[in-house]
Amino acid sequence: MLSSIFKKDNHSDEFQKLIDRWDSFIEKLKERYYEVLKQSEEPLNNVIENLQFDNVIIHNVKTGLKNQTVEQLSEKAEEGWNKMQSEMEKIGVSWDQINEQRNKLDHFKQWIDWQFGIFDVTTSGKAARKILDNVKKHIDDKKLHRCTQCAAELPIKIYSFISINLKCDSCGSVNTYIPDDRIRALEYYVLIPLAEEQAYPFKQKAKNDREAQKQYFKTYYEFLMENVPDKKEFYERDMNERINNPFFKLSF
Amino acid sequence: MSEDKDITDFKSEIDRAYQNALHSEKGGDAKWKTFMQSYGAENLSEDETNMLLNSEMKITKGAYPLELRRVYEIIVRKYSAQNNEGLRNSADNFNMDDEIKKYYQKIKPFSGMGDIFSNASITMNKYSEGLQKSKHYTFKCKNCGAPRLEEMQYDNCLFCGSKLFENAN
Repeated sequence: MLSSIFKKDNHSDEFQKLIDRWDSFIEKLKERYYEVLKQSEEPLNNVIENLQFDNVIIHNVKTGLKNQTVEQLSEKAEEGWNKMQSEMEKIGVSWDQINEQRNKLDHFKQWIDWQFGIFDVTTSGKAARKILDNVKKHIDDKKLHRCTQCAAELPIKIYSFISINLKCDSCGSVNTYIPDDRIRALEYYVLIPLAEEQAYPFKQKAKNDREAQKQYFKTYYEFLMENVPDKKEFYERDMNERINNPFFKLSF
Repeated sequence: MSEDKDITDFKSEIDRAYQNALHSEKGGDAKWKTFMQSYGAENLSEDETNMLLNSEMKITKGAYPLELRRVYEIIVRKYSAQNNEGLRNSADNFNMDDEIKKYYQKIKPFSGMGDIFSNASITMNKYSEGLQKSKHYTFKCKNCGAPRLEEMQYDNCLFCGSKLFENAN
């Protein structure tokens, strides 16, 4: 490898053929990526169609698919690169030229990671909308809540995410309300995936751009604050911590 | 030299047929049918296509292997008939079954996919069971039955002074 540093650029046909082979190998890996996802489309839609109130199966399917795509194809790309590098060294390619080809491997790995991220977020979004739809069908949002002591109407919000103690304006008794488990679960199975879907466009830039990172956290948490008002303060505190603490950059 | 060129032509024609079949819509699209017709190969009838689409031999894309085989056969016949020994050998040695099998491997549902979905299916709606409906009640003093009157009232009954909540121990 060291000797490559002192070599001049190689412009031979042999090298060009190697580049063509390398490019076409990477293209084939990309095709394979699309192929796997295409094949998962039908069974995945079927799974989403049959979801009830949780998305645990979606996480498990995505883990399997990530292994079949991002992990296995990146590994194949690495193996291909090892062969490519040794072929290039054999014909005396310069260090810069090797690096230029190496960049294609890095770009491919970034590309597949980002592509899968989009697939991940979109799939979770679809599943979230299906679950939300199921919950809406299940919940009677017209149900009136009356004080257990005097039967006065209570201003209880059906879509609450935490238990509340509510003092009746009429008789002063405290009524405790525990929301439906399906509604409480919306926060994790529906709202967090939807918040991620909204904020995801900022995530790619966020790796190197502090402003985009702030925008990502802002979009993500503002969505949650708006839709989970019971926990607005909690999310606001989390958001401010992430926006103002430079160490959170490491999480990208 | 010309012999080599003929062999290259044969291989590229085989490859073109393969690519056209592979990149057509599931079950073959109009472009593929036109391609087949250009060779005089017979398309599968609508009934045959529907029967195959509903069969256990699932495909995810591309034309049916049987149609590709029909095109391959015509190409092989065409080149076998030429007065070129090397070419004739290439055409005669073309392993039809093997090539069709390779093609099917490309269009059949991805085998690992079944495992992913069957493993994941164990967790299908696992956490959707046993969920409780909303509850609504008022804490009352066990001693005198007076309701809880303050939201932050976790100590004694405001009416009789008994403990409103029992200690955990």
